[in-house]
Amino acid sequence: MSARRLRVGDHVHYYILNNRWNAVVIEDRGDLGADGQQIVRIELTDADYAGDPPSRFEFPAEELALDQAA
Amino acid sequence: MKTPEVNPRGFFLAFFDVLYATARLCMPMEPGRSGASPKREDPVGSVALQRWRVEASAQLSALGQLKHAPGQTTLARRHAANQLNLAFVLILSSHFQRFCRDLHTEVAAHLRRTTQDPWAASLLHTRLVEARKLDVGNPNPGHIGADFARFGLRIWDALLTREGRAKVWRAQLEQLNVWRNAIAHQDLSAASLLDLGGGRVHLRRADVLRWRRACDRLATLMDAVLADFTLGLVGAAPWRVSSQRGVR
Repeated sequence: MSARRLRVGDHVHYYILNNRWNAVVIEDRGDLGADGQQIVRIELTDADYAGDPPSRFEFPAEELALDQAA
Repeated sequence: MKTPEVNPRGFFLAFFDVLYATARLCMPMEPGRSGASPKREDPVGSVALQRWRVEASAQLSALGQLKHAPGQTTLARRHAANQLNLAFVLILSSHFQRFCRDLHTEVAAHLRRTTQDPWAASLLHTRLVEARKLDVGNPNPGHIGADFARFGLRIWDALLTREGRAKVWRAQLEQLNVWRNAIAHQDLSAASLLDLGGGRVHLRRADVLRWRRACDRLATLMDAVLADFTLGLVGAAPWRVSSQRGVR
Protein backbone atom coordinates (compact mmCIF):
# COMPACT_ATOMS: atom_id res chain seq x y z
CA MET A 1 0.00 0.00 0.00
CA SER A 2 1.30 3.43 -0.91
CA ALA A 3 2.23 5.78 1.94
CA ARG A 4 1.10 8.83 0.05
CA ARG A 5 -1.56 9.79 -2.43
CA LEU A 6 -0.67 8.46 -5.86
CA ARG A 7 -0.03 10.86 -8.70
CA VAL A 8 0.06 10.61 -12.46
CA GLY A 9 3.45 9.23 -13.51
CA ASP A 10 4.05 7.18 -10.38
CA HIS A 11 5.41 3.71 -11.02
CA VAL A 12 3.54 1.14 -8.99
CA HIS A 13 3.08 -2.59 -8.68
CA TYR A 14 0.68 -5.10 -7.25
CA TYR A 15 0.62 -8.81 -6.67
CA ILE A 16 -1.85 -11.51 -7.58
CA LEU A 17 -0.62 -14.46 -5.56
CA ASN A 18 3.11 -14.47 -6.38
CA ASN A 19 2.79 -12.69 -9.68
CA ARG A 20 4.05 -9.14 -9.67
CA TRP A 21 2.43 -6.72 -12.09
CA ASN A 22 4.13 -3.42 -12.88
CA ALA A 23 2.25 -0.34 -13.97
CA VAL A 24 2.32 3.41 -14.22
CA VAL A 25 -0.42 5.73 -13.00
CA ILE A 26 -1.96 7.52 -15.97
CA GLU A 27 -4.95 9.23 -14.34
CA ASP A 28 -6.06 10.16 -10.84
CA ARG A 29 -9.79 9.41 -10.85
CA GLY A 30 -10.38 10.92 -7.43
CA ASP A 31 -11.93 9.42 -4.32
CA LEU A 32 -14.51 7.33 -6.11
CA GLY A 33 -13.74 4.05 -4.37
CA ALA A 34 -15.56 2.33 -1.55
CA ASP A 35 -15.42 4.51 1.58
CA GLY A 36 -13.86 7.31 -0.41
CA GLN A 37 -10.71 5.46 -1.48
CA GLN A 38 -8.59 6.99 -4.18
CA ILE A 39 -8.99 5.29 -7.55
CA VAL A 40 -6.31 5.60 -10.20
CA ARG A 41 -6.15 4.48 -13.78
CA ILE A 42 -3.04 2.48 -14.53
CA GLU A 43 -1.28 1.13 -17.58
CA LEU A 44 0.59 -2.14 -17.33
CA THR A 45 4.23 -1.72 -18.27
CA ASP A 46 5.42 -5.30 -18.34
CA ALA A 47 7.45 -6.27 -21.37
CA ASP A 48 5.22 -9.30 -21.91
CA TYR A 49 2.82 -6.95 -23.61
CA ALA A 50 5.24 -5.37 -26.07
CA GLY A 51 3.48 -4.86 -29.36
CA ASP A 52 0.01 -5.26 -27.92
CA PRO A 53 -2.32 -2.38 -27.22
CA PRO A 54 -1.58 -1.09 -23.71
CA SER A 55 -3.73 -2.59 -20.99
CA ARG A 56 -5.33 0.26 -19.05
CA PHE A 57 -7.79 -0.01 -16.22
CA GLU A 58 -8.71 1.46 -12.86
CA PHE A 59 -7.33 0.20 -9.58
CA PRO A 60 -7.80 1.14 -5.90
CA ALA A 61 -4.74 3.09 -4.82
CA GLU A 62 -4.64 1.32 -1.47
CA GLU A 63 -3.91 -1.97 -3.23
CA LEU A 64 -0.95 -0.55 -5.15
CA ALA A 65 2.60 -0.25 -3.88
CA LEU A 66 4.74 2.65 -4.99
CA ASP A 67 8.04 1.59 -6.56
CA GLN A 68 11.05 2.67 -4.52
CA ALA A 69 12.71 4.36 -7.47
CA ALA A 70 9.67 6.61 -8.06
CA MET B 1 -14.80 41.27 -35.79
CA LYS B 2 -15.25 41.96 -32.11
CA THR B 3 -14.70 39.17 -29.66
CA PRO B 4 -17.17 38.45 -26.83
CA GLU B 5 -16.36 40.43 -23.72
CA VAL B 6 -17.34 39.96 -20.14
CA ASN B 7 -20.05 42.00 -18.51
CA PRO B 8 -18.67 43.02 -15.04
CA ARG B 9 -21.81 41.90 -13.18
CA GLY B 10 -21.85 38.63 -15.07
CA PHE B 11 -18.18 38.16 -14.40
CA PHE B 12 -18.62 38.57 -10.65
CA LEU B 13 -21.58 36.19 -10.58
CA ALA B 14 -19.54 33.64 -12.49
CA PHE B 15 -16.57 34.26 -10.19
CA PHE B 16 -18.67 33.58 -7.10
CA ASP B 17 -20.10 30.45 -8.73
CA VAL B 18 -16.60 29.08 -9.17
CA LEU B 19 -15.58 30.28 -5.68
CA TYR B 20 -18.57 28.49 -4.17
CA ALA B 21 -17.78 25.30 -6.03
CA THR B 22 -14.14 25.50 -4.94
CA ALA B 23 -15.18 26.05 -1.32
CA ARG B 24 -17.44 23.00 -1.48
CA LEU B 25 -14.60 20.89 -2.78
CA CYS B 26 -12.22 22.16 -0.09
CA MET B 27 -14.46 21.06 2.77
CA PRO B 28 -12.73 18.77 5.29
CA MET B 29 -12.19 15.29 3.96
CA GLU B 30 -11.99 12.06 5.86
CA PRO B 31 -8.97 11.95 8.19
CA GLY B 32 -5.79 11.25 6.31
CA ARG B 33 -7.27 11.94 2.91
CA SER B 34 -6.76 14.97 0.76
CA GLY B 35 -8.57 14.19 -2.43
CA ALA B 36 -10.73 16.49 -4.49
CA SER B 37 -13.99 14.62 -4.13
CA PRO B 38 -16.84 15.78 -1.90
CA LYS B 39 -16.92 14.37 1.61
CA ARG B 40 -18.70 11.06 1.84
CA GLU B 41 -19.72 11.12 5.47
CA ASP B 42 -23.42 10.95 4.63
CA PRO B 43 -23.47 9.53 1.15
CA VAL B 44 -26.77 10.73 -0.26
CA GLY B 45 -26.17 10.16 -3.92
CA SER B 46 -22.95 9.08 -5.59
CA VAL B 47 -19.76 11.13 -5.60
CA ALA B 48 -20.31 11.24 -9.36
CA LEU B 49 -23.63 13.00 -8.87
CA GLN B 50 -22.16 15.41 -6.32
CA ARG B 51 -19.34 16.28 -8.72
CA TRP B 52 -21.84 16.77 -11.51
CA ARG B 53 -23.96 19.06 -9.39
CA VAL B 54 -21.10 21.12 -8.01
CA GLU B 55 -18.36 21.24 -10.64
CA ALA B 56 -20.33 20.90 -13.85
CA SER B 57 -22.97 23.28 -12.60
CA ALA B 58 -20.38 25.91 -11.67
CA GLN B 59 -18.61 25.74 -15.01
CA LEU B 60 -21.78 25.78 -17.07
CA SER B 61 -23.23 28.60 -15.00
CA ALA B 62 -20.03 30.60 -15.39
CA LEU B 63 -20.25 30.19 -19.14
CA GLY B 64 -23.89 31.17 -19.09
CA GLN B 65 -23.02 34.41 -17.29
CA LEU B 66 -20.81 35.68 -20.09
CA LYS B 67 -22.47 38.66 -21.69
CA HIS B 68 -21.75 40.87 -24.60
CA ALA B 69 -20.02 44.19 -24.28
CA PRO B 70 -22.27 47.24 -24.58
CA GLY B 71 -22.12 48.86 -27.96
CA GLN B 72 -21.55 45.69 -29.96
CA THR B 73 -23.34 45.46 -33.25
CA THR B 74 -26.22 43.04 -33.61
CA LEU B 75 -24.14 40.91 -35.92
CA ALA B 76 -21.25 40.75 -33.45
CA ARG B 77 -23.61 39.90 -30.59
CA ARG B 78 -25.22 37.14 -32.62
CA HIS B 79 -21.83 35.72 -33.58
CA ALA B 80 -20.60 35.80 -29.98
CA ALA B 81 -23.79 34.17 -28.72
CA ASN B 82 -23.45 31.43 -31.31
CA GLN B 83 -19.84 30.74 -30.31
CA LEU B 84 -20.86 30.56 -26.66
CA ASN B 85 -23.59 28.07 -27.48
CA LEU B 86 -21.10 25.88 -29.33
CA ALA B 87 -18.66 26.03 -26.41
CA PHE B 88 -21.49 25.19 -24.01
CA VAL B 89 -22.27 22.02 -25.97
CA LEU B 90 -18.65 20.79 -25.76
CA ILE B 91 -18.38 21.48 -22.03
CA LEU B 92 -21.77 19.98 -21.25
CA SER B 93 -20.98 16.80 -23.14
CA SER B 94 -17.57 16.44 -21.49
CA HIS B 95 -18.99 16.89 -18.00
CA PHE B 96 -21.73 14.37 -18.65
CA GLN B 97 -19.11 11.92 -19.93
CA ARG B 98 -17.20 12.42 -16.71
CA PHE B 99 -20.34 11.85 -14.67
CA CYS B 100 -21.07 8.57 -16.47
CA ARG B 101 -17.46 7.36 -16.09
CA ASP B 102 -17.42 8.31 -12.42
CA LEU B 103 -20.70 6.54 -11.76
CA HIS B 104 -19.43 3.42 -13.51
CA THR B 105 -16.18 3.57 -11.53
CA GLU B 106 -18.02 3.87 -8.22
CA VAL B 107 -20.21 0.86 -8.90
CA ALA B 108 -17.25 -1.23 -10.09
CA ALA B 109 -15.25 -0.30 -6.96
CA HIS B 110 -18.22 -1.23 -4.78
CA LEU B 111 -18.53 -4.62 -6.46
CA ARG B 112 -14.81 -5.20 -5.96
CA ARG B 113 -15.16 -4.38 -2.27
CA THR B 114 -18.10 -6.75 -1.84
CA THR B 115 -16.36 -9.67 -3.58
CA GLN B 116 -14.77 -11.83 -0.88
CA ASP B 117 -11.97 -13.55 -2.76
CA PRO B 118 -9.14 -11.09 -3.59
CA TRP B 119 -8.25 -12.82 -6.85
CA ALA B 120 -11.85 -12.86 -8.03
CA ALA B 121 -12.31 -9.28 -6.91
CA SER B 122 -9.28 -8.10 -8.85
CA LEU B 123 -10.21 -10.06 -11.96
CA LEU B 124 -13.83 -8.91 -11.87
CA HIS B 125 -12.87 -5.29 -11.35
CA THR B 126 -10.33 -5.28 -14.17
CA ARG B 127 -12.82 -6.73 -16.61
CA LEU B 128 -15.47 -4.23 -15.56
CA VAL B 129 -13.34 -1.13 -16.08
CA GLU B 130 -10.92 -2.10 -18.83
CA ALA B 131 -11.35 -0.45 -22.24
CA ARG B 132 -14.65 1.22 -21.48
CA LYS B 133 -16.35 3.15 -24.25
CA LEU B 134 -16.76 6.08 -21.89
CA ASP B 135 -13.00 6.27 -21.30
CA VAL B 136 -12.48 7.44 -24.85
CA GLY B 137 -15.87 8.13 -26.39
CA ASN B 138 -18.80 10.47 -26.08
CA PRO B 139 -21.49 9.85 -23.51
CA ASN B 140 -23.99 8.87 -26.17
CA PRO B 141 -26.76 6.40 -25.29
CA GLY B 142 -24.97 3.53 -27.06
CA HIS B 143 -21.71 3.96 -25.15
CA ILE B 144 -23.56 4.36 -21.86
CA GLY B 145 -25.61 1.25 -22.55
CA ALA B 146 -22.54 -0.80 -23.52
CA ASP B 147 -20.47 0.12 -20.47
CA PHE B 148 -23.22 -0.38 -17.90
CA ALA B 149 -24.17 -3.67 -19.58
CA ARG B 150 -20.91 -5.03 -18.13
CA PHE B 151 -22.73 -5.10 -14.81
CA GLY B 152 -25.54 -7.08 -16.40
CA LEU B 153 -27.75 -4.01 -16.40
CA ARG B 154 -29.84 -2.88 -19.34
CA ILE B 155 -29.60 0.68 -18.20
CA TRP B 156 -31.93 2.30 -20.71
CA ASP B 157 -34.65 -0.25 -19.99
CA ALA B 158 -34.19 0.41 -16.27
CA LEU B 159 -34.29 4.18 -16.73
CA LEU B 160 -37.42 3.98 -18.88
CA THR B 161 -39.14 1.66 -16.43
CA ARG B 162 -38.47 4.07 -13.61
CA GLU B 163 -39.27 7.27 -15.49
CA GLY B 164 -41.14 7.44 -18.78
CA ARG B 165 -39.69 10.85 -19.64
CA ALA B 166 -36.27 9.20 -19.94
CA LYS B 167 -37.17 8.42 -23.55
CA VAL B 168 -37.26 12.13 -24.34
CA TRP B 169 -34.05 12.80 -22.38
CA ARG B 170 -32.31 9.98 -24.21
CA ALA B 171 -33.26 11.52 -27.56
CA GLN B 172 -31.99 14.88 -26.35
CA LEU B 173 -28.71 13.30 -25.21
CA GLU B 174 -28.34 11.73 -28.64
CA GLN B 175 -28.88 15.12 -30.27
CA LEU B 176 -26.41 16.78 -27.91
CA ASN B 177 -23.72 14.29 -28.90
CA VAL B 178 -24.41 14.65 -32.61
CA TRP B 179 -23.86 18.38 -32.17
CA ARG B 180 -20.83 17.79 -29.96
CA ASN B 181 -19.18 15.74 -32.72
CA ALA B 182 -20.10 18.23 -35.40
CA ILE B 183 -18.56 21.07 -33.37
CA ALA B 184 -15.47 19.15 -32.26
CA HIS B 185 -14.71 18.01 -35.80
CA GLN B 186 -15.90 21.25 -37.39
CA ASP B 187 -18.26 19.33 -39.63
CA LEU B 188 -21.54 21.17 -39.55
CA SER B 189 -22.55 19.95 -42.98
CA ALA B 190 -24.75 17.03 -41.94
CA ALA B 191 -27.84 19.17 -41.75
CA SER B 192 -30.22 16.24 -41.52
CA LEU B 193 -28.56 15.05 -38.33
CA LEU B 194 -28.39 18.53 -36.88
CA ASP B 195 -32.04 19.37 -37.52
CA LEU B 196 -33.37 20.98 -34.36
CA GLY B 197 -36.94 20.88 -35.56
CA GLY B 198 -38.63 22.14 -38.70
CA GLY B 199 -35.36 22.09 -40.59
CA ARG B 200 -33.68 24.57 -38.23
CA VAL B 201 -29.93 23.91 -37.98
CA HIS B 202 -28.96 27.05 -36.08
CA LEU B 203 -28.25 26.38 -32.42
CA ARG B 204 -30.15 28.54 -29.95
CA ARG B 205 -29.58 29.11 -26.27
CA ALA B 206 -32.87 27.35 -25.53
CA ASP B 207 -31.51 24.20 -27.21
CA VAL B 208 -28.41 23.99 -25.03
CA LEU B 209 -30.38 24.75 -21.88
CA ARG B 210 -32.84 21.99 -22.77
CA TRP B 211 -29.94 19.55 -23.23
CA ARG B 212 -28.47 20.62 -19.92
CA ARG B 213 -31.77 19.90 -18.16
CA ALA B 214 -31.95 16.51 -19.87
CA CYS B 215 -28.43 15.62 -18.66
CA ASP B 216 -29.26 16.81 -15.17
CA ARG B 217 -32.38 14.67 -15.01
CA LEU B 218 -30.63 11.66 -16.47
CA ALA B 219 -27.81 12.01 -13.93
CA THR B 220 -30.27 12.00 -11.03
CA LEU B 221 -32.14 9.07 -12.49
CA MET B 222 -29.01 7.04 -13.28
CA ASP B 223 -27.76 7.61 -9.74
CA ALA B 224 -30.97 6.15 -8.33
CA VAL B 225 -31.15 3.25 -10.78
CA LEU B 226 -27.55 2.20 -10.10
CA ALA B 227 -28.07 2.36 -6.33
CA ASP B 228 -31.13 0.11 -6.61
CA PHE B 229 -29.44 -2.23 -9.04
CA THR B 230 -26.36 -2.65 -6.84
CA LEU B 231 -28.51 -3.19 -3.80
CA GLY B 232 -30.33 -5.99 -5.59
CA LEU B 233 -27.09 -7.47 -6.86
CA VAL B 234 -24.94 -7.61 -3.72
CA GLY B 235 -27.33 -6.62 -0.94
CA ALA B 236 -25.73 -3.23 -0.27
CA ALA B 237 -25.97 0.02 -2.17
CA PRO B 238 -22.81 2.11 -2.52
CA TRP B 239 -24.71 5.27 -1.64
CA ARG B 240 -28.06 6.33 -0.30
CA VAL B 241 -30.76 7.71 -2.53
CA SER B 242 -32.78 10.39 -0.80
CA SER B 243 -36.47 9.59 -0.70
CA GLN B 244 -37.04 13.34 -0.90
CA ARG B 245 -35.16 13.61 -4.14
CA GLY B 246 -37.16 13.09 -7.24
CA VAL B 247 -36.40 13.91 -10.82
CA ARG B 248 -37.71 17.36 -11.54
